[in-house]
Amino acid sequence: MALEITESRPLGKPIKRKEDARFVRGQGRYLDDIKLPDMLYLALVRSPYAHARITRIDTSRAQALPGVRLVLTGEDLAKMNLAWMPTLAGDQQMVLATGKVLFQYQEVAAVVADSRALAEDGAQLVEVEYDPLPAVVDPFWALSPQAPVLREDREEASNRIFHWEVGDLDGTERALRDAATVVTERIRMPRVHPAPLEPCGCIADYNAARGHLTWYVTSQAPHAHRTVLAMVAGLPEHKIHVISPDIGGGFGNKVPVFPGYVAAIVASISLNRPVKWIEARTENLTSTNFARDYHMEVALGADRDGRVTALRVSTVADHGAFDAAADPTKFPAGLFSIVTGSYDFPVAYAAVDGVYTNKAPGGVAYRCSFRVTEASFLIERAMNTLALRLNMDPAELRQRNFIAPERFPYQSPLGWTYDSGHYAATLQKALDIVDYPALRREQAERRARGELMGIGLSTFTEIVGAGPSSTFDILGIKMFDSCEIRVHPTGKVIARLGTRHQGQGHETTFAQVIAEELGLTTDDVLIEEGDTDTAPYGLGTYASRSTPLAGGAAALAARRVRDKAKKIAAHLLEVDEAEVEWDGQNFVAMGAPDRSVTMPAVALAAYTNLPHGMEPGLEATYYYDPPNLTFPNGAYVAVVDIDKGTGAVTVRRFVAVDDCGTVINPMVVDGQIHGGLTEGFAIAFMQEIPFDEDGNCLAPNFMDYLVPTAVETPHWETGRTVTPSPHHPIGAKGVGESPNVGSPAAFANAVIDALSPLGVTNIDIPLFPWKVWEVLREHGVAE
Amino acid sequence: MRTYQGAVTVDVPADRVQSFVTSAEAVGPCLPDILALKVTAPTTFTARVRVSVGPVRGAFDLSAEIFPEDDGQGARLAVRGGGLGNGLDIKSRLGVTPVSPASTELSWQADVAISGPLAALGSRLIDAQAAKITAQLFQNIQQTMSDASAS
Repeated sequence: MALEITESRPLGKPIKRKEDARFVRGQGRYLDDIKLPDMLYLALVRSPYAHARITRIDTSRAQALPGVRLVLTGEDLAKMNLAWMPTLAGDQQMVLATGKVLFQYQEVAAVVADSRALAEDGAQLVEVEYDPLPAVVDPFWALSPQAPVLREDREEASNRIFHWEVGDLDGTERALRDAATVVTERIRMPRVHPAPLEPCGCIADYNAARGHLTWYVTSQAPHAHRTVLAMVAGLPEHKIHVISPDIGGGFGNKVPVFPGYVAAIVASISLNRPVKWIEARTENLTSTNFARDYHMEVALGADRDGRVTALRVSTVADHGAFDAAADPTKFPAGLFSIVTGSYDFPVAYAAVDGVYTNKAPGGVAYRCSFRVTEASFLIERAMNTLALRLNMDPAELRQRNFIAPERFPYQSPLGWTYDSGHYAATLQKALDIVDYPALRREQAERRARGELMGIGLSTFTEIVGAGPSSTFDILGIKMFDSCEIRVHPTGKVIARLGTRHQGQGHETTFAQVIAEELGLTTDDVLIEEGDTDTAPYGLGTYASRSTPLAGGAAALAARRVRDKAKKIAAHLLEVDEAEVEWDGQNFVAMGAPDRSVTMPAVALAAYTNLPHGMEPGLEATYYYDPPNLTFPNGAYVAVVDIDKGTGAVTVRRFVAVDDCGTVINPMVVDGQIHGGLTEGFAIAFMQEIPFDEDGNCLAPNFMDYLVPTAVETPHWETGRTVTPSPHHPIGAKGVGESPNVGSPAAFANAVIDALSPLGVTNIDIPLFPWKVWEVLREHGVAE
Repeated sequence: MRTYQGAVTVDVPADRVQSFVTSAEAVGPCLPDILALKVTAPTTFTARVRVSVGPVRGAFDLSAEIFPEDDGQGARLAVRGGGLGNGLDIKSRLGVTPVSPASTELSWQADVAISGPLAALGSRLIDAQAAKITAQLFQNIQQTMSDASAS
């Protein structure tokens, strides 16, 4: 039996998640649960080399294996003009390699067979001969004139993908020269992977008789994928039906289009049978889109009072073999220019150079709005370094430099207009929860005893919710989002949106928004996403854009429904429309509170008892193009203890106070915060995808790429301040990514705070115990 | 890239050791865990060998070529191949140094480049396994020459 959620006025209430009824019973329907009649399976042959010329491919033994139906190589795809495909970042990427391979585990051939095991066996029989070439692993070396040029398909004989800069360089240099204090630091955010529990995959089901492709795919952006597919494959878009079933986590990993998708579609079209491709864990970690890999250098100036005066940032962004990020067209470095954070910098400058190396492609927005985590990590670490240099409490330094609440809407020196926030209040709330003065006293006592205790702060500001469409597009497709609402005669609602949740709780939270606007209960509203034949066009769910965009579309579509409903209510109440009021649950005749009609009554009338001349039905669609982005923010405090014998860091407390504007469902928000903090904890302490000098990926599985379990995960304490977004229809800002954006710096700052008496100002994350222990040993305090 | 090295002394004159290490017919069968061998020329051979390193278990197809040193004191052995999505590239130098008229030191230095999932096993498993396999190869050479000498 389904959960019954009959509470009225549901907005802001901890309504239990509707979708969990099926998830907790194992009744979700994920891609690998789908088995179509006559379905075939595809396996990929991958390169063991990071950089090598392909000298020979022999598929004869694989083709001779009983049960193998098709073997595809890059040469086969080249004949169809499909050997390369565009990336969402405007680059191009090999589908199956031709000429040479550019990263280890690159897709070289595809084998389609009657079973997955047979396909894998067939892949083993494909003989590929390589002539290894020197691998370019270091992104700084990649920019050297002596480095081999990796991409022979480009006219530009360079490994530089782009140079992007923003701000006032001359003004920044002047301000830095005039500053009383300038701190510099090299901050590295290593390559990590979103590592969703469910890897990426698809089923391509081409019907030759209808000329129609049904494509089941683990997609965070099904409409965008349909359009890209139509452009790449030349299939008519109306004959492509994309279905994104339940998704076991995305975190940005499921935004791009992958070679396996294209290979499966080609195979299905060639064989006129359904073809499934789904990654193994190693394939996911090694080939389908990493995140981060930003190598940043910061200079931060301040006056004698500790007020920041200038910020200069230069960054090398390692994109791997192809720029397969999903950044908006005008922003090759994403929204990295939020790097001034929560602080009132008079002047700033940031530059990013994107670089090709012999590593897997990507640079996806792993639970962050396009490079915002990198920016947040940088500024929060830099502020910590400044506090150390000035011998000033990091909380005091932040309070002194926050953008004051009266300055909103605030124009940042790097071009953004912040919508709202009260940073000082948010930080103060976090400090109150942890009893910051008491913690500092305890730390002093422990230091006197030779113990290593650290307190780390992070007071971050995000930028989420791309559009507006005037500024944001991906491959020319404007970034808006949408909602269509249909109210049935009995007052029950089905709403479809252009987004696609992967665990965020949209089936509940969007139902709350619509129910609130229509005077219904959450149980009255069914949310559908992920089906391009039914849902209105939208750009999907990533970059914390669902609530800022589709949430806005849901509220405004519901208001359109309500506008029509009001006319019908006036008809039912036998008064003029101007004499009808909406009290949040009913339409009431002004001055006659005993005369009212409910939304279900109006809905029935919409099909049975309409005013003369009115179009029947009760439904509306809204494509919401926001006037601005939203700027969620928060203040996080981490308290850690370091074991001098092992270098192990124990997170004793972690308090997260978030301000995501209007809260739709506090339980869902807390869940989002808990999940994101756990990921941030992993990034700070456990996760990195390193490579050896030959370009071998050294963390291709969960033995080497660590995912925290309940055993390692600290206890999270959450709090909230609410500063509604002034331009969003319900004041919401989005929250899903804030904890991943804000927490790594809090963890790192806490460790540095513990070690600061030793003169330590930086250790690159992840803060593995051995790495911390080496620092302790260097300073003669390891036990 | 990893480098392994070692030396064994065999009770065989240097000229016979030199003849042995420059012969594909002689060296080929000394590969450990060999499943199939095909000598394609006096100094080249292909082989299929069983590999079992952690979770990577199966067969590798290798092709090898011997390049005798001009001074007649050793050879270079190049092996390339792979399997199960892995690549293997070995460049080794075999030194043949007389110790006495009846005994010879056979030394080796092998630069081993591994690609694919095997490489990720890193220092946990690869070093021990590669050292073991390399040592086994030269033990086999030593044993084969000693047996031949005794017979």
